[in-house]
This record gives sequence, structure tokens and C-alpha cells, in this order.
Amino acid sequence: MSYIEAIREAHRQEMRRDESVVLLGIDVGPLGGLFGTTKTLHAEFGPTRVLEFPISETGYIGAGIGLAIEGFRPVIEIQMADFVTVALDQVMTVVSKEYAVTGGASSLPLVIRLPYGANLTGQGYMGGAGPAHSQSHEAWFCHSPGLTVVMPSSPADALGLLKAAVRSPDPVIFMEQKGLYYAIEAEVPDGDHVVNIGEARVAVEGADATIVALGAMMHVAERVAEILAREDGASVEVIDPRTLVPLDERTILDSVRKTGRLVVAHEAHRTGGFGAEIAAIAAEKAFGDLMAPVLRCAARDVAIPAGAAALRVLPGVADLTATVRRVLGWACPRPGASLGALRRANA
Amino acid sequence: MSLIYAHDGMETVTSLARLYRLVLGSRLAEQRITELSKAGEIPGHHSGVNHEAIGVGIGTAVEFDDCVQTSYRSGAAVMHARGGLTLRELVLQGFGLLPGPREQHPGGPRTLRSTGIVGGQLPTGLGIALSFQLKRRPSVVVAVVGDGACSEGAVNECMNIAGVRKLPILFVIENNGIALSTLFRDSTAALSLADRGDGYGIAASTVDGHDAVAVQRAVRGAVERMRAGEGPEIIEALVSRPAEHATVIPDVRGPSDLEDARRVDCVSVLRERLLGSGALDEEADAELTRSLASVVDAAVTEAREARLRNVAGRPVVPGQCTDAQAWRMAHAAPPPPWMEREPIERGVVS
Repeated sequence: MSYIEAIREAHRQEMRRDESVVLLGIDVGPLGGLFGTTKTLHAEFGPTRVLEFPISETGYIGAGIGLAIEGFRPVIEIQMADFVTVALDQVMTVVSKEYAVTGGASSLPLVIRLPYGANLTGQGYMGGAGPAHSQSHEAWFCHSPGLTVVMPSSPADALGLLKAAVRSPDPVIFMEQKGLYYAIEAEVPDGDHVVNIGEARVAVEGADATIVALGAMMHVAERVAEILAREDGASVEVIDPRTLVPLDERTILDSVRKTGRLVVAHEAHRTGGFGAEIAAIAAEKAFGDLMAPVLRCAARDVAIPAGAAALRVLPGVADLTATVRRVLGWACPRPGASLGALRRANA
Repeated sequence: MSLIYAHDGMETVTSLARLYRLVLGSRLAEQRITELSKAGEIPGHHSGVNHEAIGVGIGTAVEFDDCVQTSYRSGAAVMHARGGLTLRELVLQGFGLLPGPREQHPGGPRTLRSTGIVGGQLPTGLGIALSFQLKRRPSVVVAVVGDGACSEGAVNECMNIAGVRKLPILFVIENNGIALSTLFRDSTAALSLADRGDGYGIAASTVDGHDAVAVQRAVRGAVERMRAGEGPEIIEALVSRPAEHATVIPDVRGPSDLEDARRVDCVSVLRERLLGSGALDEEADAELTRSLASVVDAAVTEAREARLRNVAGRPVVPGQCTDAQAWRMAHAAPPPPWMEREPIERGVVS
């Protein structure tokens, strides 16, 4: 099953299971969404379950809030994650704060789906869609308490996490990487496959360094682990956090304590990105176990260019390989070591 | 207490005398909270003085299952909407002692708060109206915004969507001619906000917002049409703000603008009508004012005592809560197990 089919299947299963689940968005009707994510849903569930709106992100996110208060479980498709920027008041002021400011009297069980990012391979529809159609904003939502933020990288996790998101009593930001829609295909478990929110996955086990990779960077990280095993004889552990809020700190810290070296990879810009949060957690809670500085491999701090030039800015296999080699080669201070020699070794 | 406002059964408030009592009660509460705020006893308050007739007009025109969505200046609407607050509760809320209206009516919209971002509350009301439509319920939403909020994109989006989907939502625009310190003429080139209805395909009208009877009649008419499936409407209620935006912000209007803003008072409008018709005399008016003021006084006393009790029960230096406690305040789902188990970082050398 492809990534996009998994997302569609999650809608279908949850809308069949629970008639309070409704889909809101633009062009989600007969067209089935700009990318085809919601194809066939309008035909199966009709216009009272698949609700189309004018181009009004504030209006239809807000409509989802009202529906959630009245007992519906809305899934809100934002056509591209970039478009949520015009409706951030609804997400940050209303959605995230509802539970806290009502003292727990009201919660908003809704899902906001954000097709984010670019196509890292430079192929396919989303290859270099330009500065306003390629962004990765997950860190913003992690910084607004009250939201749950999930970020699946595989078809199985897309299916299982979206189903879990629909059933969550809290509002969930569902970060789906639109470059993966048609690019990856993998088996998904049969039956009612739900992935628990807040559980990371160790995708590759290793002993020498840990890569925590977000979203589509997982596929880059797995290739990098293979390259380093082959070329350097290094054993690299790759972790997919899957949920950013609440982050599975245990799994990440256990790995860091084992390997002593951590690289965080994400498609979002480096400054203020979620990688900084993971690096800070490692510094706060596993400082004594680290044998090298925590490094980030992320997009450069400039707007994502259109076309193939996007690859000059986005992190790829070569960048991540070089970053991991840097922590693998880091010389650690030992009692009696010369600081000058250490500085030269790590320069 | 003999004066019960919101919970007086299903009896419809029709008579002028009763409307007057509601407007006057709201005024006394608003005035008192505003004074206490100016004296520093209550933090900054956005006074709803002279906006009471709109709130009362709305609150007495809707039914229990309808939803009233307020702006920050429409305490009277919160109070008089069926299922809303009592006069006593309105005063307590001014002291921050009662939870907001939504918490008092868990599970139902009834009255919806505003968020502190003008116009940003409207999309929630839109969603409530959509839910009424999807569930084929005859209920309606009355949503209040100010003229300042009408410059916000959220208001445009909501009116447009309401028009397209024929949602049962009435937009009441309290046009008091000023947004914080920006005069209406400096924020809007059009002379009327009701004219915007044409652009959305929505019926719109203008009403004197100083006249509770006129507001009630206009809202009731719109509500009836919406229940009959005729779609959303806009009512622009023309009113004036006699004082500053909030008690902590100076009013920079010139003398002539201020004079204009203080020319008509919504309490006097009803009082003079009642005195003129002989339905009320000065003595009865004074007695009514005294009895309403005593309800407000009692509520202020209660609020002060409750506040003292709260302060007394609080630790002198409140410690920061744990991560897990913070999580529970922000989320309906429980915190992850590690957050509970390991509040202190490992690796700290003592």
C-alpha cells in the first residue's frame, strides 16, 4: 500500500466505524483532494460527511472547532501545509488552548492534516514546488501546548497514526510528507491497525551512533545507515520518533546512552527546528553519556527554491552521511589528554 | 433573591418593563465592575456600558438550545441568553471567580466565549451553526462582533461560508463607531457594514442598538426566518461607546466625538419611554434601581469574601508544577508514562 493509499484507507475505516467522523477541506469532494488523498470518500460518504468549503482556511478550521464542540470528530485537510499559515489564529489561539482555558470542561477531538515538505529525490509531482509549497512547520505546532503532533514516515504508520489521531480526545496535527504520497509502497497490517500516539520506533538497530530522523528524512537515514555499514563498518541506530508531542524521550535517550552519539535530521530549517529540542533533551538528560556534540542535519536557513535548486538547500544522503561521520570521528577527552591535541583532532 | 434573570423558565420576556429591568440590571453590574476596575480592585475591564440593550435584545430573543456567541463587550448577552449567567454570576465573573460560560454548560454550546483575538471566535460559531444544520436541529447561532473585528479576514470568511451553505447564524455587528482608538471612519470607507450583506448574498439590516425593543424585534425576526431555513442574516446595531476601550487605556477622542458618543444612553431610552407612557414613575424607578443595586452589592460582597478565602488558601510562594501536571492542564489524554516516572534528569552529579 502506498503512503497516500494508507491515509485514504484510514479515513475510510474511521468514517465507516464512527459516523461522527467528518472530512472538511477544499477540493476534497469529487476531485478527492489536490493530491488525490481523499478520492472515493465523497462517493461513499456523501456531502454531509465530506464537506467542501471555499478557500477559507480560517473559516473551515473554525467550522471544525464548532463541529467538535457539538460532538463531531472532524478531520480537516489543509491542501498544503503552507496554507495553514493564514489560519494560525484558529490553531494556536482556539484549538490548542481550548482544553486549558475551559479548565478541562471542553476538549476538541479533531485532526488537522498538513501535507508538508518537498520531494527529496527531486522526482515526481512535488519536486521543487517552490518557497510557498515546500515548507515543514512541525516545530511551530510543538510550541503551542495542547496540540498533539504526529509525523508518520511509512504507510503503516500513516494508517495507524491517523486512526489513532481520529480517536484521540485531543486535537492532533498530522504532518504527512507529500513527497512520500506516491514514492513509497510498503505492507500495512490487516485489521484495525492503530499505532499508539507517543511511541517511537527503532527502525535500524545499531551501537555506534544514533540518528533521529523526522518524516521523509527516515528514508534518507536508512540509506545512510546502509552506506556507513558498508563503507565505514559503522553500526548506526535509526529512530523514527513518529510522534513529536508527546515525544518518546525514553526510546531516544536509551539509544543515546547506548551509542553516545546523536544526529538529528529533519527537512525543516535548522534554526528553531525540532532538532534543537531533541538536542536539548539529550544535553539535559544524557549529558554524561554523550561522546560527541549533538549535530543537526537540516534544511539551510533560506527559502526552499523552486525546481532542482531545492536540493541545494534540503538535507540529503550526502549531507547526513557527512554529519554522522563527523560524530563518529569525534575524539573524546580522556584523563590526561592534551586539550590542544583534542581541538586539532576535532577541528 | 427575587430577581432571577436567565433561569426564569420558558416564559418569554416581552413587556417593556421587563426589558427595562434587564437593561438596568446589566448597567448596574457593568458600571460597578468598571468602577472597581478603575479603582484597581479588578484588573482591566472592557466596559460594556451602553451596549446592554444589544445584549438584552439578543438574550431575550433566543431559546435555550440556541447558541449565543459574544464579543468581549457583550456581557449582557451572556447574561440574558437562556441558560446563560445570572446577574450575580455576571458580577462574580467580573472578579474572575466563576468559570466562563462554556464550563457552566459542559457538552453544549449555549454561550460561547470570545478568544481575545477580535473576530477569531466567529469561525467556532460558524461550526456550531453547521452542526445544527447537519443534525437537522432547528436551533440557531447568534454571533456578536464589533465594527473593528469586521476589518478582520475571519469575519469575511465566516460570512461568505454562511452565505454559501445557508447556515443558521445571525451576525450581530455592534458598531459603536470606534475600534480601541481607531474611529470607524478611519478603518472603513463604506458608510454601513450592513451593506456588506449584498457581497455575501446575506440579508442584512440596521437597527438602533440603543433600543432594546428594536434589537429584540430584529433578532427575533431573523431567528424565526433562520429556523424556517432561510439562511444567515446580518444585523448592524448602531450604538456608541461613551468611555474608553478598557479601563486601563486612555480615551483619545476629541470633545465633539465624545459628546456624540454620549448623546444617547440605552437605559434612558427605555426609562423615558416607560415614564412617558405612565407605565413607570420616578418612585417606582428608584425602588427598582435600589433593588437591582442590592443584588449587585451582595454579589460584590460575596466576590470579595471568596477572593480573600482564595488568597488565604494559597501557598505564599507557589512552586512550579511538574511537567506531567502541566500536561494534564493542557490535554484530555494522559501524559506519557516517562513524564510521570522521571521528573528529574538522570546524570546529575551531586
